[in-house]
Amino acid sequence: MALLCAALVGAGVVARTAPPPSVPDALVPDDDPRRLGPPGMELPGAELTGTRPSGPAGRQDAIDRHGELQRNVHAAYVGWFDAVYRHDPGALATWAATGEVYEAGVEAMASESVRFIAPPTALSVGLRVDDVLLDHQDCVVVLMTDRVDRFLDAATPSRTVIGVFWPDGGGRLRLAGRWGAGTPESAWLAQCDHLVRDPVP
Amino acid sequence: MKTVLVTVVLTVMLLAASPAAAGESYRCWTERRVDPDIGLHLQVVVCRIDGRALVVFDRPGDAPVVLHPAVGRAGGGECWYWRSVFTGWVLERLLGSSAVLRYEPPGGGALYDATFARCGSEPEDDAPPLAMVWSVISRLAVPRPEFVLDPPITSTGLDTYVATRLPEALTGSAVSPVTGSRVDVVVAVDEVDVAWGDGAMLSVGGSLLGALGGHPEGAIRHVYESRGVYTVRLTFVWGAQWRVDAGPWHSLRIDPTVASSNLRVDELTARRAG
Repeated sequence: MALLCAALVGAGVVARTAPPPSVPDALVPDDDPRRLGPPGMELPGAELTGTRPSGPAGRQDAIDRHGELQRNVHAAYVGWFDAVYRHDPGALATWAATGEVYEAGVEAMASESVRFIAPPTALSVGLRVDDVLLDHQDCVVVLMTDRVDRFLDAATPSRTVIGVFWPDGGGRLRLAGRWGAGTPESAWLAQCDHLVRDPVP
Repeated sequence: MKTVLVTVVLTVMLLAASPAAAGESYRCWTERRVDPDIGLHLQVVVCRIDGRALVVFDRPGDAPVVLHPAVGRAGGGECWYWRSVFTGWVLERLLGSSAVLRYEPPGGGALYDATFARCGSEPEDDAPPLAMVWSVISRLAVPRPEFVLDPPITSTGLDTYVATRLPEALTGSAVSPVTGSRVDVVVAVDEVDVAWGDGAMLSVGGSLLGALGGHPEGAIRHVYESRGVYTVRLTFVWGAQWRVDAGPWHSLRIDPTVASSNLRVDELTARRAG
């Protein structure tokens, strides 16, 4: 599998897109996949760059796919936090790909340090996919930046990390792990290729 | 002007070169940190470069190295971590925080695998007992047992026996030139899996291994229901037991050896006399 992934990356089959131009959220239409939340909810690093990306069809496909991943990763985050907020282990299991992520959610339900100030919703949970590191049918890896201070009393309102997700076959992405943003590829790729996919409780 | 240009080019080249390309040695381990604000874990790769600087890969674009799995020692036990050089270990699969690693001895030959916990802190330098265990196993000439079928051509409805002579357990030892510790290793067949070729399977282990003696004293037999030519395959599952300084025994799995043989099965038909 590692060889297959390496071959796919080498052959350019795996989408390895460049980060989209940063556009302030307020400038993005409501139906644009890059929208992260309500107007004014800008993530760190957003800066005015002018025009929206345009170009050949291949690039448009990459942008469309980026938008699809943006929506799915965002949905996974909203789903995970919503399950924690509602103390719903059943829902949590549908968004957690590993026992570790599931157990983290169960612990967060009882944690005093995870303090909700509002329901986590598609509007209050901010998440931007900065880069698609691996886009494979059984594993998706993205560099992503979240924004949590609209629904959590958080000392750190935003963080940029590498997220590893396993598609469930129905279009839903389930969180398998989070890595430091600069983690060498061989480390996070192992979570795609070698982690035994035991069923989540 | 020319000197300035050369200087600029050299500077750019030096900045562009990855640290690993400069021949630096990375020893990295994964630390699991909890983000208390959101409750999710974050795995962070921490590396010691050339035994000096400590680097945490937590910023985008920080990753200059290809990492290979390695085995070391941290917290008093064997564990796996990452290195920037290939040490012979290959990651087979992750089981939560532990991993199954396969060791491919230099120069080829037998393969071995074992399960290790993840190093959660900086591993000590390599000279773990397992390195010595592998070296002892590599020196042992692990045989490839064969088998015979009895009878060599059989018929439907009749018992067909499998007979094999299991090799004696192999033993070896080594003394670490660094610590003076002695490692004892015993390698033996733990189990024999029999595939009769018609879909029937049988695993033979423990005291039943003595039943692989063939007809008449053996007990491992099979009856075929249809005529044909079947490939009978025996998989000899090897295990290694090892201990340090006469301490408790530990187990390792060694890649199995396989032997196969074709068997013709005729149909037994009754003929009316006269």
